[in-house]
Amino acid sequence: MKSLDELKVIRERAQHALKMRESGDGTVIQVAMGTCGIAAGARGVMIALLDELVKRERSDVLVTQTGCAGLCEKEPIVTVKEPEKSDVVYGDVTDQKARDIIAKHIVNGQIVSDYVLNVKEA
Amino acid sequence: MKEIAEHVLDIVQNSLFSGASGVEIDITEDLQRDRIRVMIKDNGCGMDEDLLAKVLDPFVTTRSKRTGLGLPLLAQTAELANGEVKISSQVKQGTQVYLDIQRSHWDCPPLGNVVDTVVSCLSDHVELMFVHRLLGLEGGLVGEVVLDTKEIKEELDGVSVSHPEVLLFIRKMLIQEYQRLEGSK
Repeated sequence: MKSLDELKVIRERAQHALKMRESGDGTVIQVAMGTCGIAAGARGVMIALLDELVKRERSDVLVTQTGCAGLCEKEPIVTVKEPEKSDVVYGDVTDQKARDIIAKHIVNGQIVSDYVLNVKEA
Repeated sequence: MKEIAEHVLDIVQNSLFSGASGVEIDITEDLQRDRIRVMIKDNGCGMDEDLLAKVLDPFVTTRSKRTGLGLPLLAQTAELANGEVKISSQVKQGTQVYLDIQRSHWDCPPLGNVVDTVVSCLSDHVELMFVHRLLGLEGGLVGEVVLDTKEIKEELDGVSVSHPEVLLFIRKMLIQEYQRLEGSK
């Protein structure tokens, strides 16, 4: 069964990556998935983040979800949490902006200042 | 909300924030009776009778920063499209939300992107049992899409279902399953 074989390959790759990096570098990307976030397109943003992470071989980064951030007019909201760094909150995120955040912030380590809503000091 | 699938994601968010470790999503498109039925069941903390009585009122929420509009919006969608929402819940047992809506009604939103809703739900490590069945004009089962994360977890041998590559794999698999389901309509 082709799909099962594919899943095994993913499993082996993920297990190997985990061994190499211990348990990833601990970076987590949170997507706000309250009613307001979902209505504003948070679901598409999450899929774009996942897709770009896999394309750029950064599957060690976890994409997870959180509730309404209290800034409904700025949804979809995405927060990048990196160990020992300030949390960076991005607002009005579109699918394309989500891909930019992965390329610039996660891969190249540069905060995408045009999309930043807030930086929470570590 | 533009889609029923967005409502489903929103209700599952309630389940996740209620501490549910397991969620069931059951969607039935019934062509014979012209209905769409959706059942979302969780094993979260549940609600007491007082909260249950007012849970469809706007702005009722148990969490800070939440709008309390998810269930009222679902009820409004149902009302507009000749349908209803039923909610049952027991403290420490879980909650069940049931939507029954007229499929061909002018005001019935499209089912929408169910695949991305399921994938989004899985990003929170929840155990999910998902079934989408299509009942034909004669009333019999024409086709179905099933996803049980327990089965996938067994194959993953310790790798999380929330791993980005696994989530995209599940997404691809579901898209193929839906293409099959569409073909059987």
